[in-house]
Amino acid sequence: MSEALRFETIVVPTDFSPAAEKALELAAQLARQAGPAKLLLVNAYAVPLELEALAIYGAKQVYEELAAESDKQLKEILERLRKEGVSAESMGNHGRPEDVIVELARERKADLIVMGTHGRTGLPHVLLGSVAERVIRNAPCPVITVK
Amino acid sequence: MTEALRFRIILVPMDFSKEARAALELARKLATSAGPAHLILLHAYFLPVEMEALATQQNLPILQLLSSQASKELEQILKSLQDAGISSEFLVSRGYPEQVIVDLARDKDADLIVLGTRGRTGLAHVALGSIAERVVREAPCPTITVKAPGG
Repeated sequence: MSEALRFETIVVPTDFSPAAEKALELAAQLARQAGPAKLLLVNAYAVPLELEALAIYGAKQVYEELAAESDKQLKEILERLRKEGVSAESMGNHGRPEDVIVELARERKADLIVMGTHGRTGLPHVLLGSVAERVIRNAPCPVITVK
Repeated sequence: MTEALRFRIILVPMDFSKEARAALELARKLATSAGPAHLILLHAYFLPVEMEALATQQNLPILQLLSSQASKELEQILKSLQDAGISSEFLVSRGYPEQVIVDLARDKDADLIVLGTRGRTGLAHVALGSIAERVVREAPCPTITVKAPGG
């Protein structure tokens, strides 16, 4: 019971919101202090199902622009983390966010998921808060939620 | 993003389930690795109103019993924490667990709540899982939810 805490793999879902940014910051600190851990950034919120549907109906460009924009932001985060000496990789995803996050954590045998929620104020909760709740329910590892 | 992480006060709700014990295990490691932190163990209990009325009517010391039983177990846990050099205290509080947990986190200015949860296990989820969900939603600080190993 006295062995030191060591996280090796931490999954960090992001939608580039302030809450997700805070989660990332906490994850990076834990990666350094209770690691060294590798962060797996997953942009699981970028393309809502509605947009995918939209893409099918011809708005392919919108879809691709969004995907490109989120790739760009992920790259910026990776660069920032690298400068801070935190090892990280990113993966884009298309699917139900909660499934993508839980599946990734399971596949990569993650020790921890760190994710933002928007609390319960209005619409954001419906999106992010409920994703967090479903992740907590199904996660194979501990989940930290940050507001 | 460069300052060191330090949890000062970590709240650990304790219902003596294996999930809560797994949460305690993680909390004590965090208290050392990302501390030094002070652990607050919290046992919240409540009786349905009808039972409480019955207990009062029959003069049954159910509430005292619940409270003293919990205190006894908490004292043992506290001793093992303090033997390991971890600063800690416990509280036994009456009320709806999610409310008591969130209120105490706010009162004590906790940096972190480490909460055991059963996750998806049929009916049990309705009881325990929903406490976790409400705590996550209302908590004034980050919350870690932990399941029992293999569970």
